[in-house]
Amino acid sequence: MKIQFVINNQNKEFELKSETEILLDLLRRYGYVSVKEGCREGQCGACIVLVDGKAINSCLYPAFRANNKTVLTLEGLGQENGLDVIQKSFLEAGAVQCGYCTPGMILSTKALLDKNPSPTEDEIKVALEGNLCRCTGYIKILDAVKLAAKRIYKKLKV
Amino acid sequence: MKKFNQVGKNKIKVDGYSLVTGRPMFVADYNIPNLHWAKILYSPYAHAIIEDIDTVEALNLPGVKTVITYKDVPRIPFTTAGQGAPEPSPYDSFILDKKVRYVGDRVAAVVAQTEEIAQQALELIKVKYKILEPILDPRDSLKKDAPIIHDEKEAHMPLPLEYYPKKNICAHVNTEVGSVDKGFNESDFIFEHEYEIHLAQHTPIETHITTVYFDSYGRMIILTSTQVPFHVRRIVSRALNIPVQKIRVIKPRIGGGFGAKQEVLLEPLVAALALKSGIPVCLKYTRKEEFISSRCRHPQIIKFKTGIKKDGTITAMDMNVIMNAGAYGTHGLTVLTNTGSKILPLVKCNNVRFEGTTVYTNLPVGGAYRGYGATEGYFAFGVQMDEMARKIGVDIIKWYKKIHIKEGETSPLFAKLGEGKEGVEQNITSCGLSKCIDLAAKEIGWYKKYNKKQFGRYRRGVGMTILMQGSAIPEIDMGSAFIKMNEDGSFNLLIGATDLGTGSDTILAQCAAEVLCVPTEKIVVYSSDTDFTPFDVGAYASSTTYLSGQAVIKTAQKVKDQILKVASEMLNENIKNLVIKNEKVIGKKGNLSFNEIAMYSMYTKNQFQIMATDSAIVHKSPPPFSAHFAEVEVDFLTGKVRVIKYVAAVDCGTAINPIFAQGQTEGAVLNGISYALTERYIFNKNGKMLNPNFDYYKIFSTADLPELKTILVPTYEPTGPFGAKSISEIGINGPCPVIANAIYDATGIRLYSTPFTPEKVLQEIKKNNIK
Amino acid sequence: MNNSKIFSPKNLVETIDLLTKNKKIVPIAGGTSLLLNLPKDIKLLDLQQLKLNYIRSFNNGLKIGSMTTVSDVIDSPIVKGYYNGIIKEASRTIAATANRNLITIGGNIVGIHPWSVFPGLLMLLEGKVITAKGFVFKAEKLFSSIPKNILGKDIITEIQFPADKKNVVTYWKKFSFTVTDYPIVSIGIICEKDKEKIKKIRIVAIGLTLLPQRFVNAEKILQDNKIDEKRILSVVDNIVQEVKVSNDIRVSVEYKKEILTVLIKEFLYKLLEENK
Repeated sequence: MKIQFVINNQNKEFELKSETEILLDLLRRYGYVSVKEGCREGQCGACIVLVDGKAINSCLYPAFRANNKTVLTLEGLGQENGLDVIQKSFLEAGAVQCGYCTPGMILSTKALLDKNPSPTEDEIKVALEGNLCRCTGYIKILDAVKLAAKRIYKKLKV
Repeated sequence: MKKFNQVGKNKIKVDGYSLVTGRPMFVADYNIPNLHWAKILYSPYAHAIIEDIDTVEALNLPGVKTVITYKDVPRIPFTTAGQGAPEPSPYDSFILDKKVRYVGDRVAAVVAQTEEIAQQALELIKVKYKILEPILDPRDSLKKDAPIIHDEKEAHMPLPLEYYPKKNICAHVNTEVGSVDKGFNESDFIFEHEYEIHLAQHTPIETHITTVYFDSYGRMIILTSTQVPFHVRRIVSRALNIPVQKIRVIKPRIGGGFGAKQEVLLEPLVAALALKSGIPVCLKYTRKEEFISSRCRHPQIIKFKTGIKKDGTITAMDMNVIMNAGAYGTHGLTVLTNTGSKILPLVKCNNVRFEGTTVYTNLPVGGAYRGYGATEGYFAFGVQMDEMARKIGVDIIKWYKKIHIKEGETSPLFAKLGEGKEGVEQNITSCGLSKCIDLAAKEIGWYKKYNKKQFGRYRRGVGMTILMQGSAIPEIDMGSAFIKMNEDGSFNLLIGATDLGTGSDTILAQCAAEVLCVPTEKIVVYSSDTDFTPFDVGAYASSTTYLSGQAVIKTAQKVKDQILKVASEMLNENIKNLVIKNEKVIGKKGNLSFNEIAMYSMYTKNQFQIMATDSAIVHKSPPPFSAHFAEVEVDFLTGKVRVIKYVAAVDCGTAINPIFAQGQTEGAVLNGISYALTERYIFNKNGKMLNPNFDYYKIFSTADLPELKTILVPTYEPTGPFGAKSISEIGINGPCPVIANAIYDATGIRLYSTPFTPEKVLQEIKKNNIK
Repeated sequence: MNNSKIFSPKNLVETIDLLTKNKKIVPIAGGTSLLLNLPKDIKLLDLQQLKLNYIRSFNNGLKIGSMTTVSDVIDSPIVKGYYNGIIKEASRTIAATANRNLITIGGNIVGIHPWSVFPGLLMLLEGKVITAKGFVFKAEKLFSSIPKNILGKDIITEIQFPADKKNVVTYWKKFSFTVTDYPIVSIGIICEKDKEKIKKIRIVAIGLTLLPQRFVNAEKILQDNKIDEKRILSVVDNIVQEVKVSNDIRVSVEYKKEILTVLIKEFLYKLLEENK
């Protein structure tokens, strides 16, 4: 079964391995290996990608549903001018340890900040509540999101 | 405090850019042509013998390449424990065995073109089991007519250590300093209680995964998510009887380990499958397998008895531990001894006894888990000390500050409790614990909140504990490094040391850069590849900074000397007049850039490659110290405990990278908090785990975060790299005792078993009739 | 198309036709782990094309299409203004952000679990469930048994909530071990007051059994009466007697009952306090 969707700003055609293939597996097969598998049950958030701007667990999402939609993986961030402000903030705030939860975290952050550029701490916590991390204790991750929000806000003002 | 140029700075992780851009860095990201997939058939019974196993139908399924059972693998016993040879863990594991010893033990394995086909093949394997009586409680393991879990003749301990498998005893230690009997006689009060600490899993977000393939020379390449690449190589060599020379182990980026991956868990099996099939094979654990069939924290039952005088002098400490190894004895001795060695030296006492027995049960297997026995032991210690302080009416903060081990002091226990071999005597040469206590007490507002009579539905209280851990294993573990210089004044740093997300690649680069007087960015790090990087035991025992750091410094020093020698030749100047600063050699007769020196050494005259290698062992294990304080709120109607604020003040010597040090502490503490409150294994009466998923095994998310504050208290450890000790484990040991003590402060209820689930707390509230 | 596993009907007639003609076919809505363990011969009915993603105000009530996601419900200003925002509040207790972006209202009802919120909300607010075949189920009827069994070869197209009243107290509270956890128990209460008297009250709980439960007899104790301590205890007594609790590996039945009473009492005592 063939489908097509815009992946990281590029329209692309995909051949599904089976009709019931999940988006996580399809994306990884096509080399978007930033999309990680952690539980395959929609509980850990490592597989989160953005579909039409919304964070979804790609392990629960049938790939065929992505037909004619827009998908964003971590590979699609920050290509043109170096790192995206969120990526940069994660690096500088010490929010990356093993890095396995990082793609999902950054994309959940992007979905949040695109919708709500000045989130409160509670709103940040809710946006990331489905992204499990065992390394950081989340503190530096929250710092990174706040830092990114501050930078985005500055940019918007200017 | 000493000031450094690279050390002590919040350098960006050397792999950070790649991780935030999603580069292929993890085992599953590698594209291996013709990769096939393996799946394991697990035992549904806690204790059984495989009487008959028929794999013909499975093998005939289209797409299936190989099916193996115990009949197809060498019967060589080994341990899966990632420790130095000879491992102080019993050789009681086989790649596949005729006997199964817990629900989730291995029965057979399949290789197929896809995971789906492999899974289907599993269902076609027919097994006839003879069910045996299981032991599901460690208290039953030592009973007279208990079934013997390891009755195979091959099981043995490779070192002359106590091992009585016929009695289900996997390890035993008994050591005494002074006389506890005398000490109890001298005491005014005796406290004795039994504490139970529970089973939990590390839940690294990346599960265990191993790929094995063969290179063009026919050598076996093991690409695996591990903390111990060199131990993997050696143990696979043993298990399959292949020369070490024929094996290469590569650890790429891994998605967390926390001790679960200090284990040669998948590699021997996957290697056996790859050998039999003649094709590349990958085995990736599902989340369910990660819970049931990998490794967990060893549960313990601790009888802790202490004697104190009215004036606060501790006259005797007697700790007796029964540790549950689960079905196999990996780390069964060393976690046990650590329970004593990382706790009992912390406070002054002349009469100390530690006895421990690790027993086999037919339950999931305990292994290395951050804290490594200390986590279990500190629960008993921290709670009992709190009880004692209240009983004798002493201010616990003042008391701790008085009785904790100080700089210049020693404890006879350091020598008595080692890890398989004798321990090592040591003096404390850096200790900032009192300052940690003061700063953390202030941050939590201790005196304002402590011991306040509470009413109503929500009651708050504060609790604290002090902690110590260790830094590397003295006289046993070794690390080494190799550095070479490139034309542009950059350096390649090759280290066996294993970065599991801790940032050790970066830390070690900072150390090298500090010695070589270059920016950290000029160091190209490559690590954990048994062909290219020199030996290192791997990431455990909080050793990487303290041990591998010293190897890196020694190596960098040698390289520095070579640079100076070349410069001396180039400038025709006495080497004594030369200094290195900011990538330059500065002499009276002129300056030379590293670039110029490198080019000269490689191409111009008396050419040689500027490079060096060196190794390090350590002769002591200087403890990091920490004070943890927390404020909790207990809901009297539901029993739910909420941590409001948690403060961890830690002395790790010099923090090579402060933001990393904070991150390690925060991660360890939060892991400890959810361990204390929500994480647990739920079993049915047949020993089957019922909640092997994140739906029902709860770890904290951002929504559950308390306010968490980390305070780094710098000291200078003279034996450590730039004054550093360690930091990664100690943080996880605080939450259990701290939260238990805070619950007492809030409610008057003492909890002697973890976790502090709402149901358990509510039961205690009702039992004690607290109004 | 014959060999295909997936059918994406464009209208309801096609949908019913496919359901009737195919023995083994399962509708897939939002976030589903159904796909991962699918039996070989089962077909999938993809409901994405049916344009059932909407939220409409209707005579001071609500009409929500069955393919609307929980996130869309939460974000909707129409939902926010309905009955003090109880539907939004209850929806926020469902799972985590990314899950809510996929979970649909229809899926939350048909794929019913003890923790499913919308069956509880529908029962609480006397909602209705509309199907493609044109059936209109009152919530109480639909949740008297497993919805899948009652629906048969049909799909939910819409849920409806009646006109909301003013001067009504609404309440939804979840008790769980971690924030995103499945509830141990959640309760929903809607209460119409007349000065100090409770004119009407409905009490619903989820998380105790597969289906939501309503405590009709407990409601009767409070209805048309002034709330006082004696009555509250009587209500709690009654609920403890009548409640059904299934096994949950996480906690004992006794604990669940205890939590239920704590949640109920919490609300009623608050009401009592407000009257003073």
